[in-house]
Parts: sequence; structure tokens; C-alpha cells
Amino acid sequence: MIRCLILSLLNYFTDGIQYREFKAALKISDGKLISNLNQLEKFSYIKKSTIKFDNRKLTVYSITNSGKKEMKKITEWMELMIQVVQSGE
Amino acid sequence: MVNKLSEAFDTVIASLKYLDLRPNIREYRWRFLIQKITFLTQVLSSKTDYNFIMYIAGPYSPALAKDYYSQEAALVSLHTDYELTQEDIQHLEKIQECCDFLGELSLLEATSTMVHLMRGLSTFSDDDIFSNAKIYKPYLSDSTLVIGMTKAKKLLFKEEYLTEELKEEMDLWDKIQ
Repeated sequence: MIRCLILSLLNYFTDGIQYREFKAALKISDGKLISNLNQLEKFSYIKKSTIKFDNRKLTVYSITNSGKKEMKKITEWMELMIQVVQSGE
Repeated sequence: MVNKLSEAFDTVIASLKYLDLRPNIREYRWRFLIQKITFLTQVLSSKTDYNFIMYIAGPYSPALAKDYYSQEAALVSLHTDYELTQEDIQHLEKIQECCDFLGELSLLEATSTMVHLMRGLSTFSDDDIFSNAKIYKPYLSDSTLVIGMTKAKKLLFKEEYLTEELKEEMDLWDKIQ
């Protein structure tokens, strides 16, 4: 679920999201956040880059093309789930 | 070839051109600057209608991001058909006076966050605005947020707020000095 959330956020914020911004918004532990980000990076769904911001080095994550494709699949799958649930009501 | 620009993005380019900025959207720093400058300009002049949200990287507009990625050529060449009005120039100079674009970006982040919160939570006290800013930006230091709040107040201040009564009071203080 956290990975879906990370992917969807990166799909929305196309400029990328700083690690510290993720941490402030998701309010999860560093361990949990890093392991999920690393896993998504391992799948090549996201990429990590280092930027210079006020003479400090910050890590920024952005979505890759395969990440966008995966996100599309997730969205389609969720839409299907909603249809199934609504048809059963 | 430069594609047809949206009216809003045309205004964005004209503003950047006036501020003598040559953005390179391949760099995070420049994308950050475009977002924050456009937000502040929009607050003061309402010439653009981008929807800025606070969550995560706020104030941030995905529609503006889409515009600068799709109109990179126009941005690089600073090609625009929009002519800034005298009022636009006054607003841009006010922003330029308040924010150092080549200086600390954290300060610009704090100022734009404070402007967004002060407009959205206009009935809140300074302490409540500060607490809210701390929730969104816990990694910014207290001093950066306080300076950001002062700059935000300066940006949002309008001449008409200065009533005769206030002017008289300020004149008295000036006489003491």
C-alpha cells in the first residue's frame, strides 16, 4: 500500500519529491520509507538523484517511464475493483 | 518550433523574463523557482489561474509543471507575446524586493508556504499559522519560518490597509526617532 502511495504521489508531482518531503507527508519511520523507496528503485519504477539545495545535498525521487506504466496498471486494476464492488451492491 | 502557449504560461514567461531569470527546467532548482515565483505572482496579480496545492511540495501546481515540460523551447528562449502591465511590474518588483531568488531557497519555500497558509487560514493567529507551517515543513528551522512569515506579511500588505489612524500613529513614532 505504501508503495502504491509513493508511486501515485510521484506520478502527480512530476518534478520529483525530496526525501524530507516524503517523510513529513507520509509520517512513517525512516526504515519503512527507505526500504519501500529502495524496493521501488530496484524495480526501476522510480529513480533517485542528488541535488544541491542551499549548499546542502538533498535526495530527490522521481517516477520513471516503467513506473508510470505500472501506475496505469494499478489505476486500471483499482477501477475494475470499484466496478466489481458497485455491481455487487 | 514553439507550440502555442497557454495564456497563463505566456504570463509566466513574461514574468521570468522581466526578473532576468533564464530557467533550465532540467535542474530541480529552476523548477522550484518557477513554481514559487508563479505562485507569489498569482497571489498578487491573479493574472494566471493555476491550482496550487500545499500537500508535499506545496505550494505546487502540477498543471504548471505540465506547461513547462511541454513548452520547454518557449521557456528557454523566453518567447512570449504577453506584455507586462505597470501593475504586473510593480508586483514583480515587490516580490523581487522580498525574495532573493539566487539566495537561500529554504527562505523562498518558507515565504511561499506562509503566504499560502495566511490566505487559506486568514482568521488564524500567527501562532496557529506557524504551527500549521511546522506540520507541512518540519525540516525548516523555526527562524527560517519566522523570517518567511515576516516576508509573507510584507508581500500581502496593501497600501489601503494603511488607514489615516495608522498613518498618524506611525508619524508619531517617526517623530520620536
